[in-house]
Amino acid sequence: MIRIRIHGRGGQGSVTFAHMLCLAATEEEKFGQSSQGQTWDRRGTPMEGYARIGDKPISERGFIIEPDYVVVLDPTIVGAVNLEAGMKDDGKIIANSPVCLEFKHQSVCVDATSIALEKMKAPITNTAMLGAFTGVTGLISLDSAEKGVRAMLGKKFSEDIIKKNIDAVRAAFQEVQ
Amino acid sequence: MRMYLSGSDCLAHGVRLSRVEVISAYPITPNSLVLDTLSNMVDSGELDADSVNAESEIGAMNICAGATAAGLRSFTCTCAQGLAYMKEMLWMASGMALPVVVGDTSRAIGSPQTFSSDFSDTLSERDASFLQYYCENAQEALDSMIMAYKIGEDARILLPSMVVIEGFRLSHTYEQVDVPDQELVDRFLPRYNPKHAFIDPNYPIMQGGPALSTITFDGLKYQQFMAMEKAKEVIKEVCNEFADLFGRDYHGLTESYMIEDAELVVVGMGSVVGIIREMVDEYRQKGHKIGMLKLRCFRPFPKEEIRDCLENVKKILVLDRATSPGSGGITYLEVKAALQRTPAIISNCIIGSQDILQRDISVIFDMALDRDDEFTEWYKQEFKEDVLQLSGYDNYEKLVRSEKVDRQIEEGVDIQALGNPFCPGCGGLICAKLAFSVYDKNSFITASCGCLGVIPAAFPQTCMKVPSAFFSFSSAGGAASGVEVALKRMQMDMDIFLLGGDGGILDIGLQTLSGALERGHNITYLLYDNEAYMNTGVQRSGSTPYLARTKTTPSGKKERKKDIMKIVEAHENVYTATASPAYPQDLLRKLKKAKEHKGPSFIYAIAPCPTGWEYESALTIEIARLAVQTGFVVLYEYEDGKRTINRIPKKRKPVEEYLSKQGRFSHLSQEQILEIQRNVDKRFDKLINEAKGL
Repeated sequence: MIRIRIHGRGGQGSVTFAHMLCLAATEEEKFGQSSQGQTWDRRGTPMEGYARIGDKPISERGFIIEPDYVVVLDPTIVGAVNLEAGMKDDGKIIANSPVCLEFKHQSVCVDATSIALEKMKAPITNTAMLGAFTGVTGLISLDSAEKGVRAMLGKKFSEDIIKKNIDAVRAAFQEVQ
Repeated sequence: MRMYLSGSDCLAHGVRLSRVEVISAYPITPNSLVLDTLSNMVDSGELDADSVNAESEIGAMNICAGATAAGLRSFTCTCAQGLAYMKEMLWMASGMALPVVVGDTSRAIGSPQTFSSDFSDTLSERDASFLQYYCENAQEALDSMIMAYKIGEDARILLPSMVVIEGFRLSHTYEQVDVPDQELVDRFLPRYNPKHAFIDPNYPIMQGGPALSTITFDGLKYQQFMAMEKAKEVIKEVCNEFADLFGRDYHGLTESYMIEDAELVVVGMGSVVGIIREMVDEYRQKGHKIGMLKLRCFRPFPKEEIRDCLENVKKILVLDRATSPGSGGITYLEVKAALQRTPAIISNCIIGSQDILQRDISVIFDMALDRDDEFTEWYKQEFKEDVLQLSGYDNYEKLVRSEKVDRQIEEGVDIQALGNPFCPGCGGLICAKLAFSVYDKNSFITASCGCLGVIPAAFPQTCMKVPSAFFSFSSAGGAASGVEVALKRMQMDMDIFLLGGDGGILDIGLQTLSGALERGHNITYLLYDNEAYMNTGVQRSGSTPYLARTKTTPSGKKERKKDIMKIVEAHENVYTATASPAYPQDLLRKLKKAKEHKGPSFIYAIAPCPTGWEYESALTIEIARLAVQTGFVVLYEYEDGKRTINRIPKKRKPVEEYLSKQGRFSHLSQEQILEIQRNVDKRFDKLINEAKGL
């Protein structure tokens, strides 16, 4: 089982990222389970999303304290929370940042905010970061990632908005290739 | 159909598929997701039911009991203090043989308040004659809902039930779930057709009357007791029928795993059994003969199954989340009682509310394998030293004493420290900060539950530099009254300030507000009215304005806003005023006046909420100002039976200017806007005329 912990701020879609990723995994006949930290959902406060992906049904639940991957949606959270807490030695960080950040673990930085602003005219970075995550980890295919986005956003948003989000996924995927 | 759903969604789908006709609930984290999903289902027509937004949990349970007494299938959901607040009505519902189903997203009962789940809420209602099912995953939550109605409504049983899922660990966790077809569920669970509880003028029956003779009372209690015994059989029957029809077998009250040759059996309940099962496999590979017994039902308690399964097992370890302090782990006590005649070593491991991972189970298994004595141990892997220190009485004393010195504040210094995780642009916070500036070190601050009540107090930290306490949602007025009486008796001249939102003051807290005002306690109330339950994620309150959209009123609230001021004004000698954070001088003057007033004071402040009202957070003051300029809020004071209007806009702006800036009103038609304009005009004119004595 692969454990992914997503850090962002309330309102940025950290939990939605986890849902999209797990929906993408289920497209590939894998098992996905996504959840969130226990919190009062305040806008702007540090939030955590959790995704677990495996080949068997997943019975582990709750906080992810030993992640294989850490995803950072918001550069301003670096330093505010201990992003690397409990990370495995060979764990990897995929962070949204215009400049390359220094971590103890292996990391990849992508300027997802710029991609989101360009593709969607809004600084909502979770879909771009899903593209980057897909490109860096190869855990799911780009096609599945797009399906995950569609499955999650399709309930709430128009086709136009979904397309823009998928553009952001593709652009960030390309960026990390 | 395969769907990706949370445990909360699954409870809601269970309600939908069971064709429940009356739903009533009150927002509480982490239960609100169930209510939000159901509200959407009702709004979209997916579920043909009436969803009644109650003013409190006991109100919700009363509404469901009433609806079931009238002859319909009903559902409510809650957790933690919410279930505790329902208590009286739980016992009434079971005594009246009303098969209501409660969906509980289990969360521990405070104090301290927490989001963690330890089943202390539901297990402490174990004697309320509710059937209780504890679910392992989202799928079981959905399936248990459907089965709960069938079992509870069976003529041999006629008892209410609780379907319990752990808060966050299940309620907010999404996974793949098989959602059965309506047609199949209809075959399994026909429409509710009560023969014992209904309202029919042609066949009048009296329900729930007192039984004053002990013979009648005991006779009815005996029936209840026997119905619970009978339920053991019915649960098995229903599980079998469910398995035949839907292909998922829950094996009745318990499920055993690898116990035939087991030397150690671990007994568990809820989501932890999934991990135990995995670890049993792992330990079996290493040659340890371990098995597992999952308790699906806690009421009725499966003592026969436990006896059958565990009679010849040498070692048994019972995992408990909740304890009965002074006795032991709650499940442990019952398992041990069931096995009193066996020579087995029965130990108890208390895992509390923690998330349990594979490695934790591994530690617990090793402990059970190594030890041959009968022990009771708390699993303290995750405890940190400072927390352990806090919980010891002596250490707690030391901690409070040492901090006391640092906490004393000088004259003229703000009584509130900086740094709070509020949403940017919080209108309520602006009001509270203005209020805090009026008070000095001789103040006592209390708050009812709500955004402003919970954020400043994450145990053991607080941003208040003066004595403060956080009591419960429903009774802040009562607790403040008690503090006032005690301080007076101790001749301590202190100001008592109570901060509350609309939910805590004018819905669930109305009773203790009225009590405190009527008794004349010298308390200043500040109501920050953000017009919905924002702390649980924007659900309708009594204060939500007409046609505003919330999660529980997806197409707009159908009813008008409750005028709390009229209720407060009905009490004698209360200084009453309305305010807006856009007029800080006016608000400050009123706060000071309230502080000086001998007797109760009540200040109402409109508190725009960017998150719930859906606007850019920089616009809070502008919206608070527009509320006054359009006449939505009229700034006035009311004392000694006289109303004084503080600010009459020369030319009132049209309400559209106020409404159009907020997403919660974006669905309004021109006609609806005009209707709101007429309502505002009427109320405004009435207030002005009253002030003029016309």
